Amino acid sequence: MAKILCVPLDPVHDVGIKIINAELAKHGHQTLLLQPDLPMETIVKRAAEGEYDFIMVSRTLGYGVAELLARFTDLLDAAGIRERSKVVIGGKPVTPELAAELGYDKGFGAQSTIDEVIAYVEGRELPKEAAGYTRTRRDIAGKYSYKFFDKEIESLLDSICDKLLAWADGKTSPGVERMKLRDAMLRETNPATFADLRARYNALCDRTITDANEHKILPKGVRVVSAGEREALATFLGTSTPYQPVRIQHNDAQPVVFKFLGSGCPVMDITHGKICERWGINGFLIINPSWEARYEGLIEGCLTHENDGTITSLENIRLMRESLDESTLLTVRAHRGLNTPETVLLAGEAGANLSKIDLVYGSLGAGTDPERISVDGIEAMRLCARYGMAFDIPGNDELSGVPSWKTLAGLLINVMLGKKLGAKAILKPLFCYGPHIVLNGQMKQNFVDYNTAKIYALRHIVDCPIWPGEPIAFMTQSEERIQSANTTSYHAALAATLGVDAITIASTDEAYSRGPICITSRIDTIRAVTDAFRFMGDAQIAPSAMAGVYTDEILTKIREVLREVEAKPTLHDAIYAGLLGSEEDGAYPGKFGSGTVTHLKE
Amino acid sequence: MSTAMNRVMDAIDIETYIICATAAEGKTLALELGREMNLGDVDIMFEEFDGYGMRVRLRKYIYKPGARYEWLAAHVKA
Amino acid sequence: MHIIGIVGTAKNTGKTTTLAALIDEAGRRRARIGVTGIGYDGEEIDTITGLPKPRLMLQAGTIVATSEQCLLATSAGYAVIKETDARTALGRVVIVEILTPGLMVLAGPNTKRLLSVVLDDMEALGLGAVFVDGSLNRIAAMSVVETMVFTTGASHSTEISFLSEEAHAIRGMFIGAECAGDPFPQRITVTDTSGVETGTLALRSLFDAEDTSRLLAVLTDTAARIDIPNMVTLEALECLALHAASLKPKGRTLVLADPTIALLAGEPRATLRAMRALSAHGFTIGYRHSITVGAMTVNPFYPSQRDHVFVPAYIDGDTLLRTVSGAVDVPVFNIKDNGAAVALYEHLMP
Repeated sequence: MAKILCVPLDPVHDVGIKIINAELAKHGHQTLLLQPDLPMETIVKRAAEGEYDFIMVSRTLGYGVAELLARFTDLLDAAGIRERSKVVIGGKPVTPELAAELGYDKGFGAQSTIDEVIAYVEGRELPKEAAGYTRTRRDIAGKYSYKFFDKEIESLLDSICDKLLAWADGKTSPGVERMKLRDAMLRETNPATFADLRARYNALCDRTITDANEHKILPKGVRVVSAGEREALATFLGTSTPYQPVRIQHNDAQPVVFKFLGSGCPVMDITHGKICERWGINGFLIINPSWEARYEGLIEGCLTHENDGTITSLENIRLMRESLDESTLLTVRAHRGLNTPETVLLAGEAGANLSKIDLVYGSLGAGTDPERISVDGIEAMRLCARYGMAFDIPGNDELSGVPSWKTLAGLLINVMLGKKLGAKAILKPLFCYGPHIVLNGQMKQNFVDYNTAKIYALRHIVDCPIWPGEPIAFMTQSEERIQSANTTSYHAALAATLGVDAITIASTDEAYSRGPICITSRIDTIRAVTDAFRFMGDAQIAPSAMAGVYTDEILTKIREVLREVEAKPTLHDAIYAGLLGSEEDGAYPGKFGSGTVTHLKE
Repeated sequence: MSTAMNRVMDAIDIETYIICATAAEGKTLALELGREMNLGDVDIMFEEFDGYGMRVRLRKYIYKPGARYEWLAAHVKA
Repeated sequence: MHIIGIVGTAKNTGKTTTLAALIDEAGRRRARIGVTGIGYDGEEIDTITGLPKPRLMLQAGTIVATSEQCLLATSAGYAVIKETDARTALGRVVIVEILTPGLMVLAGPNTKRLLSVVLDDMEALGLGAVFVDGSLNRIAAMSVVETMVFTTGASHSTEISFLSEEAHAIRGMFIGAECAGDPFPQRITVTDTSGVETGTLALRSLFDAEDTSRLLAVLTDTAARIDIPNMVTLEALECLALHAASLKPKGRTLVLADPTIALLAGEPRATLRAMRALSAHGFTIGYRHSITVGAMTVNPFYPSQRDHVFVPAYIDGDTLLRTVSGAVDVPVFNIKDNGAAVALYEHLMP
């Protein structure tokens, strides 16, 4: 037990020293809190009388105050009190350097915690996780059984997926074949065999891709990240450390928080990523350029690109994985375009933690031919199983005007398919003000009920992780900074209250479309969400009775949709029939890769 | 040469309120402000005229992705 | 070993500039010196005003006592000679020898006891002189040095008349008879001319006005010397001066620990006034440990606050130098003047 004198040197009581005094007393220390604004000589006399182990001083700083604080340590020294008492200064701007300058034995500033103060008094080294905080990687899918509670839906999904798998059996595509060749190339050591594999890979690629890989003719705006740039990045990261890293979550039950990375430049992405990690971000989704979707084949190398989307290459993903903290989750988007299986392969090889596959959205929202994405998507899910990566299923079809129940039905098909292929899916319902919702007025009263209903409905159906996205608050945000941060934080608070596993958040410049995301805008929303999580803690947002009404409606309509889908021979027939999103809804089956699915040669 | 400007990581946002009679005047003044601040052409990310003036968020990119970042150049070993 | 402390009346009065000039001069002469500081100094940017600060460039062969954390950021090459028991807010104080020149921040022992221990360690290395950098207006730890260089300037006040009056008062406080005594006194003692104790008082943290009344109660006619080994307040000195007029006989000596006690008592001009009043009523001021004021330096710079940021500003340097020189009987320099550094060095270390 230590004996401590708490001294508010300010004219009025500072809350900080009161809290410290109370906390120290709670920890069994003998404390005395002096009244504010006593003459220094009186304080020195009181300090001498009590034989204290510590004298803790608090004072707000201004010009001239430093001399006052310095005089205080001088008086204590001259009065012989420093022989037995350690003198400690606390206050917002206090740093170890300032404490040293003022002659104090220890300083506690704005970032210091009560635990640090107590540990210091008790002469303990504070364990590292308590001093800052140790980042831990959360296994999003780990605790779920993927058990279906709704037996009708389960049997419909069973049938839909079995028919799809039967249809796909014996079929392949250039995407699947390239993945197999790449897989072999990654392991091939014989140069002659490698050259042969490579030639076969090239034969399955579009001209733009072979031009880049064989002749170093890169698409416009793409260039190689030089060795010097990579070295400079490594030096920069090696010499910078996160200063007092922040945790977004106020308790362990709150969702992990993801952001997108995909500026085009891996160096910029990584630098943004490291800064976001410091601010507490738990994971990133790597977003590739939209043009990548149209080409057969992937460009190799560590590449940067002037426009949106970072090129999917083993080198780029690996650089990100190696540069980011081990605890940071990395998701690589695979379902857009003609390279779905190979993307998952590269993600798995580079050590990414998750991938992103959606057979329905990949076709209706991302432009890939439904048959092609079926064949490719199934193979991609098998690869997820091989690498032990979970995959998330974005329900972003809703943004084009598809009703939520059609989107959610699509997500569930992917969950069941994943289950059959041994891969763990993560449901990603949107927290958004989607066009169908606007037209039908489900969010006229509030933004809480309908978003809540989606989660309730999914929870009623299956025991599966839920990760609202993508990002949350989509279509409620403007280019205005505060509004944008606010809506993100409100939706995050709702996500926390619903106990979902993860969320993806935008930046405050997400709605601004004429340039890349900048770092300050990223930090804006992270800070907003951190405050929202602190605000909510373990409290709940109470939805109105309408949430229950909407839940029932969504469940009924999901069943209807799945019955209709099940009645069709295959999933892509259902997609063409508009059952999971029609042209009136604003969804169109994609055309990339049409006619490329072939039968495997015996 | 290392300047404070080229140590900006990516972009500079300016948020301010411009006294103006109309939204059109506000926009003109906002663009003019960027030039007066030696930022050249700035982009108006957001504007909101309220009858007295206009609240604006302006942005100037110092580095776009793929550029050679001077803040990184300092870490290139000689 | 000559121990020279650089002490300021306030922040930004030129302590580091003075120290840097002395170190440079020592380097030029290849003198083997030691350097330490009681605070934190030598950083690029002032921790309070955010203005650029002079930095300390140390030459090979210099011995430095500073905190572990300052060594992490130094550009100098060094070898650790000793890890001392002294600790600061920036870690353990370590004594190092500079092997290759570079910039270094000083954060040495922060109390008089620890400074004394570290100086003993440095003395054992056979140094000719050690410079001790002050911090802000701190003085207590400096009670162990032999010579002080005071720095004052516009940062403390832009009123030149105030600065010169204060400089005069500070200088005046160092004038006192050297009176040998018990190095570890445990009581306040009153002795007669033959050194026999005629009265004692228990030692408390501060000798204040209340203690003065207790002292007067034991002050017999034979009392010739009063030893107050602890901190004395200005009120106590004023109270004693007030009663001194009616005390008989005259010719007593009031022995304080050292001049830093007088400096710490209160506002220097008021303290000197009280000390002068005591002298006028027959009290001689003495110190158990005398300290010499070697010189003073003046600095016309001050941080001026404009629109919530600090910007550099200056008062008239020549007038400041002339006025302060006229107020004290020790050499005064504006360290930035041509030749000032050489003259100061030669004056301090003839």
